[in-house]
Amino acid sequence: MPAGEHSDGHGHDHTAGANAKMLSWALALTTAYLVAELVGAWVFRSLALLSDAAHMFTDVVALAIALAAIKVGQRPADDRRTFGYRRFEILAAAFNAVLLFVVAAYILYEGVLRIMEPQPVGSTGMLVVAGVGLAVNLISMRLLSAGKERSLNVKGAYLEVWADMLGSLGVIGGAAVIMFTDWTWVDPIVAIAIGLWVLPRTWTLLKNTTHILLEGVPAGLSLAAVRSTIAGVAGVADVHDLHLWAVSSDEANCSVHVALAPAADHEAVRKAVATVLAAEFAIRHATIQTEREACADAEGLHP
Amino acid sequence: MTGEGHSHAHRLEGVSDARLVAAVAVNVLLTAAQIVGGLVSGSLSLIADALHNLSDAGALALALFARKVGRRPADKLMTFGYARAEVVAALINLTTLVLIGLYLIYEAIDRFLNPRPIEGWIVVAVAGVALVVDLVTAALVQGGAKRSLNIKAAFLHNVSDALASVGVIVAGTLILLYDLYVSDLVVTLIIAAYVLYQGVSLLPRTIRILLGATPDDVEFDEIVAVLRGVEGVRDIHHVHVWSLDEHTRALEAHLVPAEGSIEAFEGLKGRVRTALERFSIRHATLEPCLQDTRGDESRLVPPHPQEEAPHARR
Repeated sequence: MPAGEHSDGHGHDHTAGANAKMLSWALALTTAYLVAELVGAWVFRSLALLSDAAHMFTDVVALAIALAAIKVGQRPADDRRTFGYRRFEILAAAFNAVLLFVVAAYILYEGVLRIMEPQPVGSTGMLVVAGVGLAVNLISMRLLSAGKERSLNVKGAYLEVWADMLGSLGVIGGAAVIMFTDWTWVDPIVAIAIGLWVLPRTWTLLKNTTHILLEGVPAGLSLAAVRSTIAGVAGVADVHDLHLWAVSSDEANCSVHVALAPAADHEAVRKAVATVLAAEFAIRHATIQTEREACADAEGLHP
Repeated sequence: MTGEGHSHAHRLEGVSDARLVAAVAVNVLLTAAQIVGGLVSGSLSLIADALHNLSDAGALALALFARKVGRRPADKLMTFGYARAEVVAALINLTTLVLIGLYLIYEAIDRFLNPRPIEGWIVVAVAGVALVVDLVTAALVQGGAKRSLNIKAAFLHNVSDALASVGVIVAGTLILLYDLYVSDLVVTLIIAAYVLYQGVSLLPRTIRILLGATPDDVEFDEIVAVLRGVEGVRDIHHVHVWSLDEHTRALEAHLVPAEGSIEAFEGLKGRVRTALERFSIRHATLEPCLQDTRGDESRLVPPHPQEEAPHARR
């Protein structure tokens, strides 16, 4: 029976395991603080605690989704998902990007409301709450900072926590300014500034995840460069029907038709192309169709 | 899509771009009218309904945008073309549909716990107008909904909006005549349940396509059997089948030919491609794999199974 199994995932497993551990710690810490805030909000009848708890809740959601996606992604490939489950992480990252958009939009909306109807600015108690929340977020960000560059999924959760951190910073900073200057308009302005600051990074995350979901050429790879490298392999007369796409943010796939030079041995050429793809571009999954002449059965789908 | 397939594709689409634009325009006009009416009459529910219709227009606009993007030919950024954009749009619209369903439940419970008197028969009348508009839009779009996940998701937004208007009419009448506030809760919950059911039922297929999963379990076995049965094929392995978009599949496979020459393989490829056409597999990459030269490829290309080893089947 044909197997869609890959056993070349050892390197990925190490990174995924490390990411999962960091996410678990961040999730545990944030959930603990969320529970503390909820209890405190009920005991002290504090609206401030409750509203900060809402922010922490979005962090918990983002972290939980990212972690769940990694767990799902670690499953080996099978007949139903012949490329494995790693693309689930991209879906999670896309979901977190959308969630972040909604959160940023809501922050902007609240900021505008507060310009029209200024709220009484916070008490010392509220500042303490925001301060501890800030510390929790900073710790989580530290935990996730290694993974966020290699994994869009971790990045999604990281951005959610980062946005929350900015929010706490804004609350504390704004309150400090108001304490000394009485400029109450600072509060909504800061809120709006944060909302606007968060949007560009969210947009980038959404663009990157959509690109992978659309099966576009992976970031950092150039179709032309790959094509000319393959064409440079001994025994290759022509390269066509070249496709490059990604399963997730760090695995690229390739499929290509290679027309052979007259005396070339097709097994040797096939192995040589696979070697050069792995060595030059870290493409470890390639399907190489070798043929005598450039095939006439072009499907019209490819550049 | 190839040039000659262009008009074929339009017939397949079921609803023209012009109709979609009209549907968006109609919804935007209704939204504007409801906002003006809401501001003039001070009716919050009119404004809320206006936002519902705006999200409707948004869903349709997204579907239209995705469809236009989807027609672009393949290029150096998207080697398989852009048709997948419609599946991403469907995912977004289905997700928002589910979120709206959940929000409806929250709203219904909130209105039940804090009942507000209805401003009068004007609310029912406006809901009636909105219902007519929603039905018109739904009729405009329905043809495309059968053939396209993308259009269907936008269509479901429309349907849920029409149902919401029906709900306002029914519950509004019962409240104005009999003070039956519980009718609002019941009607809205029923509508929310329907909306959630529709959204959730389409999500698995959409996500499956985006995940790069095999389109269908049964079909995968059939495909493998067909491949094995092609004349000249001794064995196959390393098979990948996935959906490029809703209607097109791609396949990669290593074929072990009975005869070792590359020339014989050419004929084999032709036969394989023909055999695969009935599964809508329009893109296939077939790698000739001679069993004896497997060597130490295991690090470069995913290892081939040594023999028919049993593997995890879910």
